[in-house]
Amino acid sequence: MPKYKLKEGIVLHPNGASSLIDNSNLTDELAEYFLKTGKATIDQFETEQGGTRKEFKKNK
Amino acid sequence: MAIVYNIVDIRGVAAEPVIEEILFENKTVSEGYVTFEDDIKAETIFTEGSATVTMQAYTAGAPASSGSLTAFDCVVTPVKVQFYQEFDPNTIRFSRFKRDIKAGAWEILSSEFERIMIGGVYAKKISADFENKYWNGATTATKVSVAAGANTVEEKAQVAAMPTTLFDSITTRLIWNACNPTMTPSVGGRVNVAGVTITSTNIKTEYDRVYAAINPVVLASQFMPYLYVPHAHKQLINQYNNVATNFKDVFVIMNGKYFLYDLEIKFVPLPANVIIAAPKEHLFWCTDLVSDINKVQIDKIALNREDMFIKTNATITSHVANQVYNVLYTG
Repeated sequence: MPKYKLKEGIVLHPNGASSLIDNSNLTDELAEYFLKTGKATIDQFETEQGGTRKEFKKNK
Repeated sequence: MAIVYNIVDIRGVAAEPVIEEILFENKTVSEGYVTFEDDIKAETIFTEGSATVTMQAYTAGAPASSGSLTAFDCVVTPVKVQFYQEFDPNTIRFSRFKRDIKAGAWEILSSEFERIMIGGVYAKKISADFENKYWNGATTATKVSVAAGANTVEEKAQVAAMPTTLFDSITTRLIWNACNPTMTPSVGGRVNVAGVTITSTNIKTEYDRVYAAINPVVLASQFMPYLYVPHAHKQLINQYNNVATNFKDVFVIMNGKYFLYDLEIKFVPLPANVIIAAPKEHLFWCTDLVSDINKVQIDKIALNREDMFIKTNATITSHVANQVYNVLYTG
């Protein structure tokens, strides 16, 4: 099961308007890269049972 | 129907120009930014050759064979694509375009409409679409392969986020292709530079990293590379040049052309944060006939009908040669 999932309705445009990342093409490797490079923020990803996922806390 | 037209009944005079959507001109084609390999119906073979030589001590007897002569073929087949839409010309009977429809109820087409809307806006849009997809896009199959392959995370992110297209763009081709001796799809042979998000502040630094990664033999060859960069970089370059504390313009602009050091910069529809440094002789636009992208067929859908169709057929694919001499920056 993937560690990272975008919140419903959230899509990323990491490389301009023509680029698109949603849950269908998101991988954990890409999610971590987007978080590391500031192309995505933690609050764009789903939380688990109302709390931030454990993995996110490690990254902080 | 394809025509969406909010019409005002003409009572007075219509201003002559029809204000068209502003598009990037397809300079890849009109100014020959890459190499056009046309007259390809299917399965054209590109051959690449290399050799190694070994100087050895003279012998009067039988010399030992040393060195190698290597060549491999790469088969390229353009993808056949189509643009097609139908419209009812009766829609324009109540518009400004009625002025030059010939007299008679049988006459349904306006030469002004054909010239401006079909030959103008519509045809330009098709041409721009070809150019966009030549530089930016990947097939579903290639996206799956790259996601599971050994490319850098920057390249994987670029390909995953690209528009899904019917053929691989030149950017994708640099990242992943089968142009190798075994014709096995794999990571491209490009010189890879891991990039960042380019801004007006770091653009010189990042371009310098690309420049430094170019094999010096390429800069000394008869085929000087271009720096292919996204359209938006023109603004970033001008902003960078305008910083007074830089003391001089790093990017030289002459007669509308942009240069960094001895390389000309070409602005094309690449995805953001991608730069390609390659001679145009290494980047191919493969097609049957280049002018196909400008050819629009317009006719009645059937002899017993009055509605019409507009159709464009063309073939296209990208190909990259001499991969180890091309630099790809992805951020």
